[in-house]
Amino acid sequence: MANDEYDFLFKVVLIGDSGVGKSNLLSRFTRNEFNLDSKSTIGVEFATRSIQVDTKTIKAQIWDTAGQERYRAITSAYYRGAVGALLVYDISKHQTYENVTRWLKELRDHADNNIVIMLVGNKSDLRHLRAVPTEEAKQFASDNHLSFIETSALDASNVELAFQNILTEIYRIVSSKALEGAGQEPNLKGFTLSDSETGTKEKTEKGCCA
Amino acid sequence: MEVTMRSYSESKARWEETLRHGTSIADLQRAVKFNGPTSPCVAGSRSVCWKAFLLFRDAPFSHWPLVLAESRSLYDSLCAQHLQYIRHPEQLAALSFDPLADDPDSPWDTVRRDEIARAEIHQDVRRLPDDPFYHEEAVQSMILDILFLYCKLNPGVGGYRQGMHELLGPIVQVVARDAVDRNAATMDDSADPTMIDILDARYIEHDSYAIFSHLMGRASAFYEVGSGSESTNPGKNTIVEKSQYIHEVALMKVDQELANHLRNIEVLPQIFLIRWIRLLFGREFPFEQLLSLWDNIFAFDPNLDLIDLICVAMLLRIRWTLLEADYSVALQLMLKYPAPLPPHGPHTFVDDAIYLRDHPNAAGGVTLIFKYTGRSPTAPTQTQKSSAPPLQGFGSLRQRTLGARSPLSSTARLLQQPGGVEALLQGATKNMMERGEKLGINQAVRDAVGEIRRNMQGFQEARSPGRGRGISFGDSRPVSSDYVTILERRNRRLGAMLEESVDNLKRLATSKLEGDKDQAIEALEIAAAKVQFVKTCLEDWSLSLPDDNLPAMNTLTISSPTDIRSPTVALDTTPVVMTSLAVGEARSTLSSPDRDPLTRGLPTLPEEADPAPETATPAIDKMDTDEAPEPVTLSTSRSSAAATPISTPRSIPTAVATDPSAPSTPKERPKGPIPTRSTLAQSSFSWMLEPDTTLSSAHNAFPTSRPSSSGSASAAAHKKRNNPSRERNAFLFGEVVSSEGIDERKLSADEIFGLQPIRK
Repeated sequence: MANDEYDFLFKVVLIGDSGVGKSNLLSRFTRNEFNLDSKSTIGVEFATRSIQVDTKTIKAQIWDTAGQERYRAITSAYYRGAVGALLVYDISKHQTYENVTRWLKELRDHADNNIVIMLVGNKSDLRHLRAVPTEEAKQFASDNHLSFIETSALDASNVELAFQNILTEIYRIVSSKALEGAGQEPNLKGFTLSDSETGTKEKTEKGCCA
Repeated sequence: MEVTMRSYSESKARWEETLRHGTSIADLQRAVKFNGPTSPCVAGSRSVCWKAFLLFRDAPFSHWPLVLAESRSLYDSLCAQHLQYIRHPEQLAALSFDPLADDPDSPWDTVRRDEIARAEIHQDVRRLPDDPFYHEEAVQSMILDILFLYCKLNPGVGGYRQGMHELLGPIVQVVARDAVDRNAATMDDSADPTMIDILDARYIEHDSYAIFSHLMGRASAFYEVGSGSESTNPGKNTIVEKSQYIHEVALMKVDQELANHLRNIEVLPQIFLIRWIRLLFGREFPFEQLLSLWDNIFAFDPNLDLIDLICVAMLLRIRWTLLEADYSVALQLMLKYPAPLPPHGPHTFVDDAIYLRDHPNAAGGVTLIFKYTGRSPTAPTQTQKSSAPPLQGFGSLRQRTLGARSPLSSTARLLQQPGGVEALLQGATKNMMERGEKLGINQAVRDAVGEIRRNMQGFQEARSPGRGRGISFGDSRPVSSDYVTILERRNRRLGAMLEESVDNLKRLATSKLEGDKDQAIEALEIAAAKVQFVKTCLEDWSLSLPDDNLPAMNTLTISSPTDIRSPTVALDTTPVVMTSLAVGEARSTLSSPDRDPLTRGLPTLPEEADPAPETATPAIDKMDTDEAPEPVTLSTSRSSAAATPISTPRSIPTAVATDPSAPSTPKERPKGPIPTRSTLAQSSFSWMLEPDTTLSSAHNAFPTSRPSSSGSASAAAHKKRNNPSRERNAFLFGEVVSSEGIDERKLSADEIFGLQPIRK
């Protein structure tokens, strides 16, 4: 947060049923906050956080939206430009896991073909209420070529790792592609933001975390 | 709820206070309008006002209890019909239906479906805002029942939609606060029976339902999504249409520069408007301020026709910040709307909306912007310069309208020298105002005055003859000696205006700010606004100056404090030097034909539409008809904009950060108005593909919309390619091997990540 220079900007969307904890994953990752009674998301929210991968600074712009299935007024705007998706379900509510296939369809219909998808079983702290076995979800993820992780926004376990993994994955793809074309293509430095951008950005960053 | 309910005596006092204003709609509207401490919504019973505005509308006072009696008995019958078995499951068990029968008509089946619907609602009701009121069990079940019944009764809405609960919440709270306990009232011989009827605590739920369903009569449209999915049925998406209307028509009419800027940075209006509108601004303002906004909405706009313009008014108040914002800054600003300060709290947006309804044009916008910011938006120069390469991707409506008239080539922009008198003045006043807030005002004023002077001198030196002539300024207006005379007279008057402002600034500086700081700030703002006004006049000589006897600036100012103008302070000569310099410069600007192409061609206001507030009336209708896209053509125009390869360097949601030194890193949007599944070559990943030797079609489509020089090498390299042959090479993720295993298990990349493009 100290400065807002970054080498890459990745848009990552959070999707999944209402109440699975998308907003809390977002707030845990970007502000290290958790709110048991967080309000339901109306429309979209978004927040950013930068992380380091190798020597590069990756700024993640993470979008969070209402989980309600019919709430689709902003679908196209939501997925536009997204390079990663965290598909979240609640390990204590089997229905939210069953609906994962519907969300995958939604991604197929609206997101970029090559979007990196991670299946996230959230609320892993609710061990006694678990309704979705880890192995089952892992198998499902593997069958569908998704990466998989279980998290708890409440006790913060694996939240950092989940975002770190998906961002690293996107970064690897991007940089390997960029290297491949390095002969003719100018390099990644072209993507580095200069200071002129920094001033305004910084200001807002503070605002968003207030 | 008992926690929330006021004491009987207080409720009674508030009831009487409310009636003191009268009981007709007009009386109450008048009383509510300014929403000060004496408003019956504040000092009296807000719920009575809301009921009057929404439910009693035309009914005389004597009929109020009847209206309520009717709606209450209706609600009772609804409960009996739809909640019987949910509230009394034992009755269901007593029925002779087989609970396990697969019969859609079985009450068991209905109850099962209802319980699913209620669970969905309950999930949100549990997540109502933090106020402890909402977390009382009685309140939660009341809100749940009301929402459930509303959805039962209005299947066309498509069931419960997230957000409805936050429309209902405040209503229940307001009704509950004012409620009176009938038993307590019976102890009071002087109790007004009408009051007991209207505020009866037994009917909090009933009355909340009535108010809510009245509100939803209009607001339900904000929740419609249409039957099809967005891609197959885009026209049915009411909220999206409404958002586009607000942006492309309503805002465009009153502040074209801002509307264009939002489009250029690719902020889709529904991203933020969906929450603004669906919750009736419920998340945008603190609760009490929200209630006062609703007071005025219900009073003056019970059918919610002004919502669009309220949104526009909100955008106007932050337009300067927005104009300098890129995509993500702008979005964060609108998703976290800065709290408007008293006395211009949120309820004043209703006044603004009414004003805009009556002045749906650029002048109306200018007036409001000026009113709240002290600056008038006729000077695009500064904002355009500071916000990334201007006019990129400005390929739709506006360019077509203006195309022939505006010499907007990138070279013209690059030739752009620091501003002109206008920009200098504007920059200086802006700095002054900013610093006036941050530091002591004294110093700021002195600095600003000095800065203006320095800039003027520097400008005079810098303004050597080399700038290209020949871009006609007022081509239809030959420069004759008459004109010169007129201009000279005009310039003298402008000079006099400037002088006055400078005098005031000086006085402020010398007064050492003895006295009210707010007043000083206000005086500063006024002075800045006047300088701004002069700047505007200098910019557009077709602007008529205000009548000497009727200085327009004063009619427009937000109450100019007279003590600051008091002519007790001796004048320093310094500012006068500045002034005459400025006027001299202004004259040269005006008489030479080389006005900045940038200034001239910017997509603000056509010359025929005169943006200055005082000349508002004559110019306006042209604006309406010429410039504003018709609502009908809205979706198509939007679509065509999306279908064109728009290149906006700040389009944030792409895979790659852009380099300002290479400002055009155009990311092609998915083709077509609605992004369908795009190929890799069309996607935001496409730049990762090997370079293409041929120029993409996107490249050639809008050559002028791309900067011709700066950083073109790297920019070009990052441009998205659109070569169909790439689609075959598009397999992107195959070769990636990552060691980021999960669960400590070393997996091959294929096992971990989605290495196959998802198939349809």
